[in-house]
Amino acid sequence: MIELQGVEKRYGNAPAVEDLTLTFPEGALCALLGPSGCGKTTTLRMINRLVEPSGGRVLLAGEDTRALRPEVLRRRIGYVIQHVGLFPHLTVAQNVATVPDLLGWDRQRTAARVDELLDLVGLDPGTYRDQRPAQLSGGQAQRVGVARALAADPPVLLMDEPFGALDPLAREWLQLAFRDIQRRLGTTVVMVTHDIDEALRLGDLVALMRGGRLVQFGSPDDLVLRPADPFVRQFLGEDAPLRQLAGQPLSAFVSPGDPAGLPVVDASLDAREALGVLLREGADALAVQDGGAPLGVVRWHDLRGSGRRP
Amino acid sequence: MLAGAVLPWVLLRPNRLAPGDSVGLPPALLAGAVLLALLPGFSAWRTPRLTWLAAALTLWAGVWLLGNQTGAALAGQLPFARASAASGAWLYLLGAGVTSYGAARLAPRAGLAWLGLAGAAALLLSGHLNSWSVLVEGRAEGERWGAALAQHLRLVGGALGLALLIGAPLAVWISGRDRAAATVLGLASGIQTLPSLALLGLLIAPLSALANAVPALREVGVGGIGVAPALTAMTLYALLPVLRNGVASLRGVSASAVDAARGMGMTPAQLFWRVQLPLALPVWLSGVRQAAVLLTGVAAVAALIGAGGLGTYILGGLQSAASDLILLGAVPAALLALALDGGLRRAEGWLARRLGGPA
Repeated sequence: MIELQGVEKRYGNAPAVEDLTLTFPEGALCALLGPSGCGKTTTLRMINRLVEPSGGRVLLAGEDTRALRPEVLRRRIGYVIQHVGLFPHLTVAQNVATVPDLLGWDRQRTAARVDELLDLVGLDPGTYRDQRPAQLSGGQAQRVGVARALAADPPVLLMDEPFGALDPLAREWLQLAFRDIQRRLGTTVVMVTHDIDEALRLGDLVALMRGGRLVQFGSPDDLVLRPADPFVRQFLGEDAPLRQLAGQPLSAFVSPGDPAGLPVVDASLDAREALGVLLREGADALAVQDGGAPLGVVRWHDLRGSGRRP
Repeated sequence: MLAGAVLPWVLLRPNRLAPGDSVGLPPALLAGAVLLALLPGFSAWRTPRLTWLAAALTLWAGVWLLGNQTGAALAGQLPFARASAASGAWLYLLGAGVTSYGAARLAPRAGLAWLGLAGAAALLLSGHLNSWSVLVEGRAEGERWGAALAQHLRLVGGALGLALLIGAPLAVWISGRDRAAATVLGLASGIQTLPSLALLGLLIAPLSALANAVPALREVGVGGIGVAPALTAMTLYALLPVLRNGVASLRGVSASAVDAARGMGMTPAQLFWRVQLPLALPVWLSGVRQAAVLLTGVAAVAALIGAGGLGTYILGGLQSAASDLILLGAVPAALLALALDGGLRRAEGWLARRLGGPA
């Protein structure tokens, strides 16, 4: 869907991004991960030409992005940033309607779309439509930010640390809600983050960058279990397998088996908590129940990797 | 205010220029004035919520006394005689004004405290103050005074309009360019440093040269003295507040809102009209307000080079040592500045609320 071919960016003589070649496949959620200053935000902004590449090509659905005027290109690409950037002088509805307005949609279609999107991000249109951004909490504001980015139904969504400024509770809720929305819409997402947990938990694919270069691009399992070089292992941390398990529903790891004599846990636990139980009980497997009904068994080696993703 | 009640209230002079005699308040009125002067203090102590009423009463009474006493003093005098307010009346009114200002903070509704002012205005309109020397002069001047006020407003409005016409686009242009902004703002504050009189003087030579070189310009009134140099100087003065606040307000627009707007595909023009300008406007308007107040003052000086306006009375009064004429120019000029300030301040508040408050 999005192809970077030998893309580079120089400021004067200093390279910010060098010889970057990668393909973000259609419908995937790809995380751009790396320490600060590694060029991940520059890479993201080169896709919608907020930063013009100094060399190489960026293809969107096979088309060179330089063939379009930047404004036209950007209206086809959703954009979400850490500080949300809602327009404080406009209502929530007017904010969400920004791109439809720029595209010249008629009033009825825009209004219907605004309500649809507010519903999608879990904000009641009747309550929030006419509020001002100043009346919203941080989490609500970012939900409006996501709704605004999705308003014109863009096939591609770029996100720059979208959940970075939220408190942990709101962040986790919004991460999962967003993951759900993304799956439903099939949007191709490129998300910049420096949060390893976020990248491992949300990303179908993770691109790890360092000093303007790509170090490894692969699934979270690839990076955690088969790190390309010592930097990847060091950056993710030795506890990366644990981080990967956190937040994964245990049901994804369950396989059929004989639960007799095994410690029993409820399916509401996440995979990391189940691992904790295994360690505490000194057991090799757990019987998993869903509200009392037996679901199956989770074994030690099942917990390696990120399971069968739902 | 107490001192004001005791000091001479009215200065009675046989004509506009002659020295005169001071007249104090008669005992009964003196007692009343003293009581009224004490009332706001007593009220603030016992019934703070009613202080505004007491303050309004003192202000109203002060104005009434002035009209009453000037009228009494002129009784039986020749038409040339003038009864002006003396130190006591000024002090008393000043005290009442300060008290009203303070009472406005205690009042349940801020507007209540200014009822005294409304009462005073009503007295003025009803003709109660017609014996006061300033108004005697004003009536004598009549239409000419109105014309001077109109000219004053034209000067202020014209210069402000020109400054906005030049300054607004310039501010937008330099707000994104650091070096240009430093140069232009430096130049504008350099001009601001020059005394207004000096600037007017400096413009005489180049403008008369220009008028001599291009006769067509002389036809439309450009010359070394008169309205053209006054407008030029005033426009230059007003540029600094317009530019400085313009640049500051445009730069103050939330960077993330601008980033989001660009990222969603706004063209530079859409970005400016839909995001930057609406968000900058309340702060920018406060620069316009400063410029308007500043210009009201500078316009008074412009009378020196024959541009007219209320300054004409101040100058004429100074030259002939007729304090009533000075007041006839100075008081309206001061009130005009206050009104412009208050009005534009309200507009700022309204805009800021409408535009969702400072981001």
